[in-house]
Amino acid sequence: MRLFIPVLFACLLATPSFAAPTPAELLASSDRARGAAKNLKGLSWRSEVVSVESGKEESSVTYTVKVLGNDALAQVTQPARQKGELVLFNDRTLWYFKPGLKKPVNISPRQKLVGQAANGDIASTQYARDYDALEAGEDTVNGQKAWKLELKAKARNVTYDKIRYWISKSNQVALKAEFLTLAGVPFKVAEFKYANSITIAGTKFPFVSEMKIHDANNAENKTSITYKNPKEEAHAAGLFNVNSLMK
Amino acid sequence: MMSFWRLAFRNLGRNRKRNFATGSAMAFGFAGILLLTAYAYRAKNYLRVYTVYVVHTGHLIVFPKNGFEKFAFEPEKFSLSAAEQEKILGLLKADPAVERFERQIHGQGLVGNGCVSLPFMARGYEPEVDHALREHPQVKLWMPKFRYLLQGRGLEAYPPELGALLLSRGLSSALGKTRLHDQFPESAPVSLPDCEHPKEQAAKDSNVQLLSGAWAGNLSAVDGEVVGLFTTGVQETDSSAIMGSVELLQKLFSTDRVAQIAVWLKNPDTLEASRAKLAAQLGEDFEVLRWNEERLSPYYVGTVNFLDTLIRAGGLVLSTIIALSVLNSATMTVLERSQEVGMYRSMGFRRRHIRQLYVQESLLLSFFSLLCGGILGIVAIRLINAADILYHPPGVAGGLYLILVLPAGQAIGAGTFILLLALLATLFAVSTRLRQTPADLLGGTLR
Repeated sequence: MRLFIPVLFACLLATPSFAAPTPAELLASSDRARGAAKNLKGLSWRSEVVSVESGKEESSVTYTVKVLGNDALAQVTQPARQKGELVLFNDRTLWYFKPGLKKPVNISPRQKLVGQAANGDIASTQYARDYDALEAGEDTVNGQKAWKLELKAKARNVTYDKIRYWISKSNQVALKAEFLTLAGVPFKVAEFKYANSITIAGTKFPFVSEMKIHDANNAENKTSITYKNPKEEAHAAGLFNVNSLMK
Repeated sequence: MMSFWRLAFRNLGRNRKRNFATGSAMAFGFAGILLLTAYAYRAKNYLRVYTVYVVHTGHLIVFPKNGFEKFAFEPEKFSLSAAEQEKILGLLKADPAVERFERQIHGQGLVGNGCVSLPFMARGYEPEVDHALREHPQVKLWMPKFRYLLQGRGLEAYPPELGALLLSRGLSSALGKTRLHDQFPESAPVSLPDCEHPKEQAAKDSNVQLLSGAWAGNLSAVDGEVVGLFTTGVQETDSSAIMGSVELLQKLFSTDRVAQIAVWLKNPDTLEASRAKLAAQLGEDFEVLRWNEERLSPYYVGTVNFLDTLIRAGGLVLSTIIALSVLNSATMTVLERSQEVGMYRSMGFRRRHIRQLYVQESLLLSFFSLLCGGILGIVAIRLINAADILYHPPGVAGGLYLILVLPAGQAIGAGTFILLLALLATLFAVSTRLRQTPADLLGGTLR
């Protein structure tokens, strides 16, 4: 009996577990629900970006988004005057092109695309690739229990320097993000919904259906990205070659 | 009267060393004041011409109400619509005091060579007005050695559909766009990007892409052809500035609006009257600013204020040295000659006669000293101008040539001021001594 309690304690410590996932695992899982197509033949969906400034709708742009590995191509389908405009993501390098332009333009993922959305927000999310994550405790977001992570950019050419990220404990998808300045002050806040799903290798995964971004200092300035019809779809690698944009 | 002048002239020879020292102080002091005045006069005019003509500020500038402050944040809202432009241009065309006017637009974005993109600040002008301003007599007069168009021809030499633009030299170097449109055959194709060798790739054509947020909120991009290189004259903008036509930037920003309309007057002396008249004609929905308002031309106003302070301080120091030299010399002379003064008084000369004698001595000394100082100053100015001295004030790209221009009116004014100063110092020194009685003066008791 004298040995029972220490042995029991040692056994509990040594038990392989039901331990919490690591921050890197959480990011990989949440990225998949936001369009990362690692180890897939490709993904595609349609995004509608609606921007509201001071409570008034400013613009609405629809994209078809195709993703293969670390590359993505977002092409405008509406409105008519912007039809054919492209944003190509080659790893962390972004290119903008529109019909009639002689060469593509190298752009920054941080640059404003529409309203509160930056170029880097429009395609798939690669936070597991682009950020170092540290666990920062637990929290509740809209009634859901979540892990809170502090993300710090691994490189300068990513969309945000720092992110405070809440990932659901129940299905490991991102619920909320605060995008921070270098000084750690939030300047944009995003919230996510997952009414879509996608089936990969016979397994059904939740997929983002809406990302709402608002200005941290003025909630009337907001942009919503609605994701429709996500599906696994094969894409040719040549589609993501920058030179192919001009042909 | 003539005998007093002769006497005064002869008296100057009685203590040559002291008078030479006093005269030298006045001559060098005056020459110094002339050099300072010439530097400030030229610098102010250089800055005026740079601000009004080279950077297209104009004498007057018309904004929509609050447009000057808020255009950068909401360009679509705080810019001039096509109808507003038509109204303003109609008024300006009918005004005989107006020399020329120009619609202007500006904004920022990224300029790419097919491989790399860099930030730019672009200003859109009307090519014909830009050409006229480059050739303006004021620019030729005050900035004869300044060439803001470093290579190539101006925008006016190319058809609007080409998308001609000028790159600042720093931006051209950073993008590798060192060859111009005219250096390629007419039918040269635009080459596909080979970003393994971005500099070599960039030099294969003169084509660039401008990308910016359209005023409606979406991204927008246009092709441009580099037809020339220019310098802004200011280091902080010489690596990011682009100049294009109003039409090119309107296409980039997807708008038919402009930010402002600049106005050049035939006679800049009517500045405030012309501003008030135009403001009254346009009404409360517009603002008309003068070019020399601090919020519009902070660099000009700040530099001119600094120059004025410098001139005042330098002038005060030199004037004090001259006044003290004359006062010291006159006091010594009067002291030495107090018995002589006593003798004049006992012979029946009145105080005013003695005072007149000393004043005439001082006038002669000052006149010759100022003459020598003037000649010295003019020779120094000519030598400096002939030396082609290039100096590098902080923030000025490429440096500035040290050129001095002496304004005749101000030079005469400075000379007159020094002359008066010398006379006052002499009168002060003499008056103290003349209060003594002839007996005291003859006895030399108070020496």
